[in-house]
Amino acid sequence: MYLKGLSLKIVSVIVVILIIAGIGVWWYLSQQPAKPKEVVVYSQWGGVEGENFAAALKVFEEKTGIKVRIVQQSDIRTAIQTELAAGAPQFDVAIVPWPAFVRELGRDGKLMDLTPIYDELDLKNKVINPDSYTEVVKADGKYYAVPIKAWAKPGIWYNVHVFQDLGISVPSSGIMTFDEFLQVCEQIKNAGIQPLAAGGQDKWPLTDFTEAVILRIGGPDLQYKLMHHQISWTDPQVKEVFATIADLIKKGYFGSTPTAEPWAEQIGRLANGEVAMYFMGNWLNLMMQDQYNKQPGTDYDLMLFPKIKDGVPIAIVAGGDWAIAPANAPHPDAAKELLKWLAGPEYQEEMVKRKGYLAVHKDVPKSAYDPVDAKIVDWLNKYTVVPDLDDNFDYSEFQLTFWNALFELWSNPDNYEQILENLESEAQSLWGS
Amino acid sequence: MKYGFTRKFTIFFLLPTLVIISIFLLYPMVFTFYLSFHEWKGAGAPVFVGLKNYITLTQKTVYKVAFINNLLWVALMVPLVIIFGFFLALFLREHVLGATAIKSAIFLGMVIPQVVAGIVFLFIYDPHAGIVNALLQAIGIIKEPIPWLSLKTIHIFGVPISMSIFVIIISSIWVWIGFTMTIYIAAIESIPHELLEAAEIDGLSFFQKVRWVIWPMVKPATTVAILMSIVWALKVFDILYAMGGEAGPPPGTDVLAYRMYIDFIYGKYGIASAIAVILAIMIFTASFILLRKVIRGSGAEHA
Repeated sequence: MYLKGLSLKIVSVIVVILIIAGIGVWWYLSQQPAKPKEVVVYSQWGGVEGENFAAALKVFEEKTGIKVRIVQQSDIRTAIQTELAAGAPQFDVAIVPWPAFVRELGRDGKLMDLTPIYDELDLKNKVINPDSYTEVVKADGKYYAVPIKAWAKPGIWYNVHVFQDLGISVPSSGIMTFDEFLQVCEQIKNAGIQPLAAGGQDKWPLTDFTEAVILRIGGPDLQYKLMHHQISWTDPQVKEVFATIADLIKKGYFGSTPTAEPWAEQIGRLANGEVAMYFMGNWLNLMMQDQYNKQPGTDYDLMLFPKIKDGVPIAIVAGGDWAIAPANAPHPDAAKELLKWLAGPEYQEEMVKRKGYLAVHKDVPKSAYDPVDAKIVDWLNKYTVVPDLDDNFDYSEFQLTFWNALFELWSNPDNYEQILENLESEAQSLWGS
Repeated sequence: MKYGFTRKFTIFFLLPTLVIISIFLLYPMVFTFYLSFHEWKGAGAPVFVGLKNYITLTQKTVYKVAFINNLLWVALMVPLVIIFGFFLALFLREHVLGATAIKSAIFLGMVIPQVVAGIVFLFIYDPHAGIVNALLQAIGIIKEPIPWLSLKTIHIFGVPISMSIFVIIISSIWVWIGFTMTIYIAAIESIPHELLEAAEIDGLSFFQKVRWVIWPMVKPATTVAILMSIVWALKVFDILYAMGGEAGPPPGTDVLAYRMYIDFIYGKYGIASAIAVILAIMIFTASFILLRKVIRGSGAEHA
């Protein structure tokens, strides 16, 4: 019995020693000096885009001595949201395309106030279209992101060879009337080629096409009103938008399975002439050249989305990518250095030269662009630029509702009125009216 | 004194486990229940809203869709995996040629991650490159490819449900049937041979043997299989998420676990917690009812 009591005492002493040792190790590690300056950057960019980004950041490393570690996040929104909610962000800078998301996080106090950077670099005057690139990431009078890139959904990309073989020409103005467009679609369909790609499996390409129709029927005013739910989704103008799209779908211009098309695959189908046209963003230019070895102007080209109603000004949806930093970033000073560099002309010109990149900084020269991108930049300067609709809903969760509604529209175009009623019902539950 | 010493020692060694269970199990359960009565975005203090989150679950269409889809999953998948699992176990006995290979192929669904299974089915159902449409077109049943994952919407109790949910549920049967088949194989193997021999001697046909001897003897296994299948059908997420690709599952195919995931992403922790509580209640209720049957059944046997 004495021996057993002794064993218990020995075990207790060992456990206490282990606990004290553990506390000591933890304290020692917490006293270690800070690691050399580095920043962790979260971005969604992969493939060529990601490689170009990494290469451009090497320039920053060489200039400043600050190491950059890029972590590609396929679900960056979830990563940012959960890490910020946990109060322990593992990143210093993140690249996001959603200004509404930035405003929400900024209002919740989770992001670094970047107004000093705006003042230092005079970004309000140096960035194109401030309403679209700087004011959209402002909340409660503070800027919570710096714009580093523009992207545009400039129009309809088409296969030049298909058009030439069928004797179809694009007006010199770069824009058809809607009747001309319908005739072209019918002609292409009769030739056994799918006129339009939808990319509907990923849902978001459907919003691009829808926004183009919104802009041609109701102009920027309708887009803004829908963004802030200042107009009902069952309004006759909105019904006209959905009815127009439903008509195109029912005529078979999107093929028989538009919602089963992965968006990126459609670029390949456009390249090889399986589809004739694809409404897609400017990044198609880079992908066509890089992945399919096609040449702009020779194999593919770009035209504006056709006019639908007279008197409605031509407008283009354009957005951007913004860089944010958490309010409690692990390396705040290094993060600020990187943010300043990303917002400046040197980084953006470097990216423009690598193709498929549109700069927001006015000091990037036009000579840095390729001919198709230069055309897009011309349009951005010539026409009204409107922010992306679903990226800018007052309530970011409405974006998924909108995506699902459009998926439903492309699956069941006859149901467009019910779809609009459901959208309005969901909108009212969020906006309250 | 001996037993007093042992009790102290026992508690001492149980303590770390109890601490871990409290931190990683009890605390999250209690906090989730607490959050379900609050609105919280992850920053600041949660705001008490009473039953508002639960009321929202009964009012908004997206949650009704999810709830009905889960019920459809239980109603369709569970009976089918039980029936098919039982008959597969019955026919794929050791002495059947190729039984081992077939059983392995069926069990593969259980072994591979559900996300992988979902991605595989995404390809199988692809309208242009998938094997389903290719086969149906080859034998002339269809002329145009069918978009299996974006079928038309029907209304069940006034709630819009995509018919693609039935396609996805069928896929899940392959994933889960290996489990029920394995349970039944073990149960059938444990039936005393004397019973089966007696049935043979009494001149029972094969189906009579199944009906009057084998099926009653595997009842406890059936209860376990039903319970586990219901729990899985209520918790299902991975396969559905993977089949939707990067944009998420097709609208009208949501399930409660997916809605919970979406609400967490959008910082609606209160509603997400309410969904978690509802799911837990459903699973607990199913478990309680079925396990009570098992306990009563085994009690009657020993009476």
